[in-house]
Amino acid sequence: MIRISVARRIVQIICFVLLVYGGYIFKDWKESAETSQQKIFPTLKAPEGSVSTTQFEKGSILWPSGATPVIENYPPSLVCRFNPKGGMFKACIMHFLSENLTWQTSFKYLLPYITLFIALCFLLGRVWCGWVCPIGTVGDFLTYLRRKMNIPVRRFPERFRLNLSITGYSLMVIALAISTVIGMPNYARFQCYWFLPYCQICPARLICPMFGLIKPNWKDFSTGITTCFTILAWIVLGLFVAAFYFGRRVWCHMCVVGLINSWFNKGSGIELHKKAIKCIKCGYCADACPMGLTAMYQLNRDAIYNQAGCIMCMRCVEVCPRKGCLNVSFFGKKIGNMQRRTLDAKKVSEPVRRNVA
Amino acid sequence: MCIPMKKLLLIVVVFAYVFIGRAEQIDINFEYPDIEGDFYLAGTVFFPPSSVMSVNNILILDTSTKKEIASKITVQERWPDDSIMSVEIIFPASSQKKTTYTIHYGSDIKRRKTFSEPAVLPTISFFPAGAGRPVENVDISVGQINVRVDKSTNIRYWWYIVPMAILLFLTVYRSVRTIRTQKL
Ligand code: SF4
Ligand code: SF4
Ligand code: SF4
Repeated sequence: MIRISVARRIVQIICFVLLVYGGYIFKDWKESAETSQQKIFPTLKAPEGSVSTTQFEKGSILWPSGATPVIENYPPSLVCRFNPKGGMFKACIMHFLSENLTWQTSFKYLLPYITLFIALCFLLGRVWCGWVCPIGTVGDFLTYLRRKMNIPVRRFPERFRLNLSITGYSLMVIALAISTVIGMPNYARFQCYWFLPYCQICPARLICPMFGLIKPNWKDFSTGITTCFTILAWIVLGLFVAAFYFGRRVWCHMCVVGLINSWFNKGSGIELHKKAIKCIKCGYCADACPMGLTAMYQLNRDAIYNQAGCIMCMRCVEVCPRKGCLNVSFFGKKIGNMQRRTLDAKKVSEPVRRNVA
Repeated sequence: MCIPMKKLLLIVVVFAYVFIGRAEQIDINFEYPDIEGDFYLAGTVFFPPSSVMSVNNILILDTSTKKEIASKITVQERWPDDSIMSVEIIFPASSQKKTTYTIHYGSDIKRRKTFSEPAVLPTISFFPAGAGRPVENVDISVGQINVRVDKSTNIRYWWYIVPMAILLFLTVYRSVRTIRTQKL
């Protein structure tokens, strides 16, 4: 049977191609996809007097190249609006929330979109992060390069990871607050600078166009505010890339979309089970976890070990040497046997144990 | 089947109900002109909010043959949710084959026959009967200010509250169960 890590790589590549180049591949579908979508989802548009991305000119940070996506919807991963030929989907949920708070769109028109988003998160939790997100895929590619360069991975302390999440939540609150304020009539004049504040600094805004074979809008020094956003975007992108030379998936601890997805992780259809009696405390699972989680190693009882930070990559299940110790199920139904290693407890290297402990 | 699977099935059923397509019909009234041969029938038709999103969801049917008639449909106004408020419809008819026509619209409808360059023929106006009038708005003119009261509730979208609430409830319920297994 195909190894789960190989299957994940294949899915990641397919999703990357679809999400970043979907606009090129399915350009003939756009019209019929639009008609089908309109049956269920209302078209969301900027009201009179509000800005929308389509009004920004080439050279401005928020210039979306005028291309429309194949499907005007918002899946639970970092798909970017600023994709040159319009990707498969319109944007991420943060774009959706920011834009519609500024436009003061009636909640009833947002309901179908929010319901679909919740349904996708409920079904698959952060599988969207581990298997689908193009930025996660870029991150995994950088991790692969780091491995090839023999740079050792560093495990970040719990406290550091918590601080990253707090930073992510702070960014989310600030961005949504700004979006709400500039939607008020008295502050509408600030919309041309402060529209979609999170998108302006998100690394996906620069990374997706690069892969989409177009030069992204690296800089806008026309005003003080746009200069600040330009510099902030550079800093965030720099940290995003640099972080992969120290650890794995560092950005995913503070990604706002990932944080929203994480609310659904413990209740999602995908369940990660541990049978404690089979565990030999080898530490391979915790050592392999790209998010640095250790609950599956530490648990001393049978449990569902879904955690908010888990991106459902299933590396832990794959590397666990004890048959039936870690399992994956979908709404209680076990999904195949994903184990790859069959190790004798005696052969487990002490460094692995020490590293995890 | 385990209980969560049953709940999932319930969600799917609720979704299917919410997403279900709809089709409506409007009769049209006109009088055959005293001319021999072909002519065009033209008129403006109004639709309730959220009922028609695209001109391809509107078609004209010949009631005697039950066949679709090629039509040219142009959007005139849209509702705030971008659904179509009014369209101008033009389609060919003939004095030799007297029949009646109906307009069908809704998400279940797919228009297949169109024409874009009408020949030079006399045009007769038709009037839609009954349904489809925009009763959702009241326009009030207060001196120089025009106030539009939107009476439409767009109940269709509020229906999504049901699957959303179920999904949120299930997420919380299952999360509590997961946390309990970890804390036991
Ligand atoms: S947390 Fe990582 S994988 Fe998930 S949406 Fe954000 S960047 Fe993508
Ligand atoms: S706990 Fe397991 S599935 Fe979750 S991120 Fe870590 S290795 Fe992947
Ligand atoms: S890899 Fe398996 S056996 Fe080893 S500590 Fe993790 S759960 Fe236990």
